[in-house]
Amino acid sequence: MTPMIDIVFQIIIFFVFTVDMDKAKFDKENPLPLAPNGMEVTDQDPRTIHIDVNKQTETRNIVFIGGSPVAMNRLAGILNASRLRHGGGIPIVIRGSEQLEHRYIKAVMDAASEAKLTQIEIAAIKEKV
Amino acid sequence: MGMGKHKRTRKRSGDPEDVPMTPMIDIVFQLLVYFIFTFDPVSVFTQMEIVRPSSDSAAKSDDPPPEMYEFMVQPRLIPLGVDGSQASYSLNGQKSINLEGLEQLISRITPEETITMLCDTRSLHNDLVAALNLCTKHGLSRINVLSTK
Repeated sequence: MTPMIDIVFQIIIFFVFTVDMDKAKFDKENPLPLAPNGMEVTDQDPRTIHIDVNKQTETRNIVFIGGSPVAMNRLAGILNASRLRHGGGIPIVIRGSEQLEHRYIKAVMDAASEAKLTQIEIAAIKEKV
Repeated sequence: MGMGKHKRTRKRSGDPEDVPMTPMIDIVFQLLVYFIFTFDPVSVFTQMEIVRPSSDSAAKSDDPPPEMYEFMVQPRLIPLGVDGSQASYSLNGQKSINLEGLEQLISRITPEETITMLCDTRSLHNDLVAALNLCTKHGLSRINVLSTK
């Protein structure tokens, strides 16, 4: 019995952790805007770059790519380097906090345009969690 | 003794060795496998595609298409979170409307037509997304997003 119970517990632990991963993307301090009619995300390009624009952007002018802070003035260079390495047409997903002013989103969109990446998507949530 | 007799009967019916564990574990595994395969986490995230016209492509088209919808996303008069705060939009520079008014206008636009969302730099990101949400709701996908200087 013992090894079997061990395995069952391992499986339970695995599922508990993988389910929570999605929740970890929710930032209580920087809620994404609500778009209940938005379409579900399917078949995402693996090269997609997610750029987080949140409250910190307001005070320190930095955005986050994959959780790492990036200075706004270096963003275009980084995106351009990605384009040169992985080819054009890389989708950019802007995950902007709802209470932010548009100019910070604009700065990110301008950086993407400067790096010749034109496929821009705006992230939102379909329901409050 | 009466006590001993009672104990014996209980032992006979409730002995753990009497319960066959193997079929139960079989079923538990079947259920586990079933739930693993049918587990489909509903994604709460959504991504709305927009077009950011470049400055040179805008310069090329001298004459705009006859019917052009340019919605302006305006800054809120009352800050977000304060009572009475609401999103404010305007169509082609006309008088300000709220989100309900915007939906009325958007519901009349056909999917072939292009919409431009001109965002004031001080407007809220939330209000742009609310407008994009209405466009998606009414099946409109040709959306340009522009920003004021």
